Amino acid sequence: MNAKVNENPQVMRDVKEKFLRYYTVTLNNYEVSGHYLPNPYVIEVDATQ
Amino acid sequence: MAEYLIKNGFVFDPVLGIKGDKADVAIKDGKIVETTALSSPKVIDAAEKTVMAGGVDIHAHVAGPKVNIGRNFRPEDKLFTYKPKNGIERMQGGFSVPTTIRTGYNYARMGYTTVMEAAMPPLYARHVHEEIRDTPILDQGAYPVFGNNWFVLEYLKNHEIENTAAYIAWLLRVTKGYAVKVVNPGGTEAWGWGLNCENVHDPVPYFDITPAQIIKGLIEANEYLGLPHSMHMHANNLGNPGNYTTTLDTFKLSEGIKPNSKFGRDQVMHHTHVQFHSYGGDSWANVDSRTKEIMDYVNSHDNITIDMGQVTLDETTTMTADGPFEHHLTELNHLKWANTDVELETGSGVVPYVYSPDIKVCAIQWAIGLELALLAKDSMRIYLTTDHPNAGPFIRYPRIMKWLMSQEAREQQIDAFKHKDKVIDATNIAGIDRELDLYEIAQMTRAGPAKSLGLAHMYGSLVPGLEADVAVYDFNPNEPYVPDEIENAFSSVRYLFKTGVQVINDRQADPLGEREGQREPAGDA
Ligand SMILES: [Zn+2]
Repeated sequence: MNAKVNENPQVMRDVKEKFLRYYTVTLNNYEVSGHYLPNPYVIEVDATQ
Repeated sequence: MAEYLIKNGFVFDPVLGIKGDKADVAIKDGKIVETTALSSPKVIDAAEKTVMAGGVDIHAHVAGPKVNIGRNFRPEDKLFTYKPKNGIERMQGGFSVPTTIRTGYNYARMGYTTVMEAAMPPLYARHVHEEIRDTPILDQGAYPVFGNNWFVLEYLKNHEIENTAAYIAWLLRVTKGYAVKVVNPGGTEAWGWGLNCENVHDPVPYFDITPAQIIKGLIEANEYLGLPHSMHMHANNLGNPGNYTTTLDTFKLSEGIKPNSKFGRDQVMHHTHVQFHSYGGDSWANVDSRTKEIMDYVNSHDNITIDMGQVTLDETTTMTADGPFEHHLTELNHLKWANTDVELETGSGVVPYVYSPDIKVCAIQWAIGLELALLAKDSMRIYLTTDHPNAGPFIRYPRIMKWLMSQEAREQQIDAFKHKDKVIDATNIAGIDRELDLYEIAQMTRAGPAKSLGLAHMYGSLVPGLEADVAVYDFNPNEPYVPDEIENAFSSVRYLFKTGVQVINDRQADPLGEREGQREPAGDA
């Protein structure tokens, strides 16, 4: 799923902070990169307002 | 790509409204097309056979860390079940927690072509996708779990829907997830402290929020985003006597919320494995079926869909993000137990379980699952699942079809129960004479789940333009049959097409499918 939303600096700040303070992995090491999905099918929705 | 014309089969397609009429199905370039669009097709003779779209499984545990824990800590599940490489088929093993290869093959043999992994821990999403990649033939998606996630708990404590939605959008993107899954909201987090949430108003320790707030907030965030699928719910209090009231309280949280999705679904909550959530009584001694209360609610509220979680009376491996439930189970059966906490996000447990027809409770559970489907007024809103492997392995779907389609088959099973009379007293099953037909089975296994998932534009029907996922079964619905013939026919599809590629021919894996199949796993064959 690729859901587009408005820019949300608060959530992105919260994400960074949780990774700094609590997660045992870094944010960079969290995302599943494209090469794990050799046959991707992306469904998009636009929830920007 | 090859063109195919599947001729003269008895077609069951709820979207087209075809109820077993003779019709031809045309395949070109991976899609269903009008028969006039073909130039020189290969003809498949489907006379006297049943033709349906490929099956769609809305809820199964088939990929990722907890499935693999099940495989690793149950070597006995692989005893006597290995099958060496045979022609183009690779080595396969396992019964309740099969290898990825066997998972793909066994779904295909039943005519299923799309399967959703129902609980992906975000931190371990990579492992889920690695196993999806190694599962042949099937199209798959995975639902990340959100109901015990610290971000969600903190945002929803203050009813911050927009922030919750932004976080969901971010997490779906980075984990390549499909939908919002909620497992025992708050309860799995509480389990980190040795506690649980047993009803929707039980506060989550240290977070100052209730399951009700989490559930409602996640439905609202899901609709704010307009996702294809609704919020996918596994409620609190799973598997406990008397829990049907928690289930009804959970259903009610969806009241007054309308779907906001351009993908054609009508529901705002899909509640999974409702069999595990439909118990009366206050102990295992007096547990009984409350399917009437549950289905009265579902039948009169069209913004909910559910799936069965049917007990199949097998030895199996239970696994769920509902950590406290698995602890409860290992205390009951004293078999081995695996437990994991996933930092900030969720937890999980795995316990082997034997659903024996000689145990009263197991037989009651069997009856409850079937009652849900037999009491449903609209088979487009209840789907055939076993919560694989929790209530039984998915390879039993054809057996469940047999039980749903034949009162005789149900009576045979009831007669085989050791505590037959007690089971009949505690359930409604003996008084139900309804027999589902193949049109209703197609609703429960194809059109219904595809619609609920918001994927009706791809799967679940034979409408031109959809993916060419087509199953042809050796079953003539117009001839008299004995119940076991249903199970046999639907266990071993005669012909199967996945995205227009023939993967099974004459009940055998098709070598051409292996060469041309664009969804074959990468790596060495
Ligand atoms: Zn499940």
